[in-house]
Amino acid sequence: MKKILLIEDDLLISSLVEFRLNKDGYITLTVKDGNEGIHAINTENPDLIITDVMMPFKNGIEIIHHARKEKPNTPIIVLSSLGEEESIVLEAFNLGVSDFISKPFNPNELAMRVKRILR
Amino acid sequence: MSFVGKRILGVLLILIFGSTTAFCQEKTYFSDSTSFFEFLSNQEQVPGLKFRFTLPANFQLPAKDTAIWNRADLGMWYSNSIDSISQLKKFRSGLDSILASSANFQYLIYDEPSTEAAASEFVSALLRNNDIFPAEKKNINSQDLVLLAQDSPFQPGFNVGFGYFSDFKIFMIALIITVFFLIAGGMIFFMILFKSRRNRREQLRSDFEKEISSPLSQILFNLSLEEIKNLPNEEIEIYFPAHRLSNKLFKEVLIENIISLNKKMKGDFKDKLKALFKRLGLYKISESKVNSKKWDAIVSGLIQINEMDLEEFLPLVKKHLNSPNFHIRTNAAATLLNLSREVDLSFLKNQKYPLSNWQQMNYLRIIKYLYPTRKLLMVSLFDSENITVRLFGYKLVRMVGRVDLVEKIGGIATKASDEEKIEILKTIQVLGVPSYTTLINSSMQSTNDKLSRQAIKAAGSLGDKSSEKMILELLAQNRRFEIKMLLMESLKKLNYESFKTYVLNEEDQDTQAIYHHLEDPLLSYV
Repeated sequence: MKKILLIEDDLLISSLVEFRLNKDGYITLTVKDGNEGIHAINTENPDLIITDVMMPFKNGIEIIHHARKEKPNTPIIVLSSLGEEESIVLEAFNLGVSDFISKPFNPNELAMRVKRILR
Repeated sequence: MSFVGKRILGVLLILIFGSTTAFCQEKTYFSDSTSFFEFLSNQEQVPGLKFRFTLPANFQLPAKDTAIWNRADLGMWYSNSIDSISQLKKFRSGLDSILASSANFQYLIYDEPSTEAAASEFVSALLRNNDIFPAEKKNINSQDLVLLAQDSPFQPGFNVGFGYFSDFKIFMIALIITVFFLIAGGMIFFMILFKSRRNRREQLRSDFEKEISSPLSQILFNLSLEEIKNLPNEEIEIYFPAHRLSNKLFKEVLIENIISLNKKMKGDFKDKLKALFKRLGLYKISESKVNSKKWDAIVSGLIQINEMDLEEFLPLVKKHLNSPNFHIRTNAAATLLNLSREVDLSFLKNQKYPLSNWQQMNYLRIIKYLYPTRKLLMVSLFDSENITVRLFGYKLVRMVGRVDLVEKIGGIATKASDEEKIEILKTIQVLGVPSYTTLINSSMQSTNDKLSRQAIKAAGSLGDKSSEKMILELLAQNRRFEIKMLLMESLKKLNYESFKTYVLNEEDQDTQAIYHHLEDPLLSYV
C-alpha cells in the first residue's frame, strides 16, 4: 500500500483528506507543522507528499526544498489558499511540484489527482 | 459578606486597632525634673549619660581645689565628669558652701554638654527601645505601693482603642495602603480566575474540535445529500451524542467548523454542510444570535445565516440594515444581497449612515458576482438623500455597464454637486456615451480643480467642436503645466490637426515639452 504524507495545520482539512485517502486504500501519515513534516520526510519515506503552504515553523516552500534535496523522486502536491501570493505558487512549480490545488477545493478531486500521480 | 471578605476585614481591623498599643508606649517617661532625677537616683548609672559641675570664669578657686576643677577654653571652670548618681552626691557633699552655691549642674550625653530636657529625652529613648530597664526601687515595702503607683504616669483610656482614628494622617496612609493591597490582590485573583477559565475553555474547544472532525468526515463522505437531510435522530446520536449536542460550547465549535469547512470546500460538500447545519437544528443558535443585544453576537449570527443560506431569516436580517453599528449593517446588507432572489438595492435608499469605500467595494464585489444571474434593481439609489449612496449608484452603473441608466444620471448631473458630477463624468466617459457635451463643457470651466480635470479627460473622448473651442480657450488662459498637459492630450484626441496647429503657434518651452512627450510612443501613456 502506498504511503502518503499529509502536512496540514488545519485539523478539519487534514481529517477530511485523510479520511478520503484512507477510503481509497492509502496509508496516510498526518503532521500539523513544518518541523514535523521535515522529520516525517526523513524518517517515513512517503510515496507522495501533500503539503499546505502557510504553516507554523516552516512553510510549504521550505518543505518542498527539503523534499527535493532528500527525496528528489517523491511527487508533491501543494494544497494552498487562493489568496496566496503568485510568487509562492511559481516558486513551488519551479521546484518541480507535481500538482497544485487551491482552497476551496473538492476532496474527491484531490483523491483523483493522487490516484493519477501514484498510478 | 463572603468568608474571604470577612477575613480581609478582620486583618484590616487588627492592623488598625492592634497597633495602638505601641502608640501608648511612646509617651514621655518623666513628667518633670524631680521624677527624672528620682529615676536617675534609683538607676544609679545610665550608659552614655554623665554629669559635671561648672563654675563661672571669674570665680576665685582656692588653690587646694584646682586638682578636681579644670579650666575650659573660655575660662570657665568645670569638674571632672561623674558617671553615677552616688558619685555625684559624694562630690557635691564634698564642696564647701561657697563652691556649692556657685556651682552649676550639667548633663553630658556622650561627653557633650546637654540640657536636662535633652537628657530626659535621651533616657526616655533608651527606655523605649529597651536599651535600659528601670531598676527596681530600693527600700520599697508594702506600705510604699501607693507611692510606687504614682510613679507610673496615667495613660488616658480613650487613646488605647482609637489611636489610628484620632491620628488622621496615619489612618489615611493605612487605609490607602490597605485599599491598594486589596485592589491588587483582587485583580491578581480575578486574573488567575479568568485565565484558568479561559484555558479550560480553550482546552475544551480543542477537545471538541478533535471530537467533531471524525464524524464530520464520515457524514460528508459516507452519506448523500438526501440522506443527510433525512438523517434520523438515532443516527445523529451515533455521530454526535445527545449530551454533546445539548452543550452550548460544543454546538458553537460545531457551527464554527461547519462554516470553516464550507469556506474551504467546493462542490456538493457545501450543500451537504448546509443540510447538516439545518438537520442538527443549529440555525436556532443563529436566530437567537441575530436577536441578541450584543453587536458581536449579531454579526456572528448574520455571518452564519449568510454562509448557511438561511433564507427564512431574511426578515430578521432586514431589521439590521440601518443599524448604527458599521459591522452589523455591512453584514446585514451583504447577507441580504447574497440570499435575495433579485439584487434589489432599494434598502440602501434610506440608509442614514454614509457608505464607506470599504462597504462600497464589498457590495460591489457581491453584486458583480450575482448580477449575471440575478435581476439588479438599482434606480432607487439615485433618489437617496444620502450622497454616498448616490455616488455608489453612479460607480455601480459604470462597474456593471448599465448604459440604460446613463440618461437617468445625465439628467441628475445638472443639479448634482461637484463630487457627484465627477463620478457621473467618469461613468459617461467609461461607457462612451456621447451627447453630454453641455455637461462636459460647463464642467471644464469649473473652479473645482478635480471636476475640471475630469471634464477635460472626458472631453478628449466624448467632446465635439464646442469642446475643442473651449479647450483652445482654456489653453490660452492656463499657464499650469499639469492642466495644460491634460488639455493638449484631449485636444490631440479630439482633433489632431488642431493640436498640431496649436503647437506650431505656441513656442513656449512647456508646450514643446508636452508636445514631444505626447508624440513619443513610449511616453504618451505615462
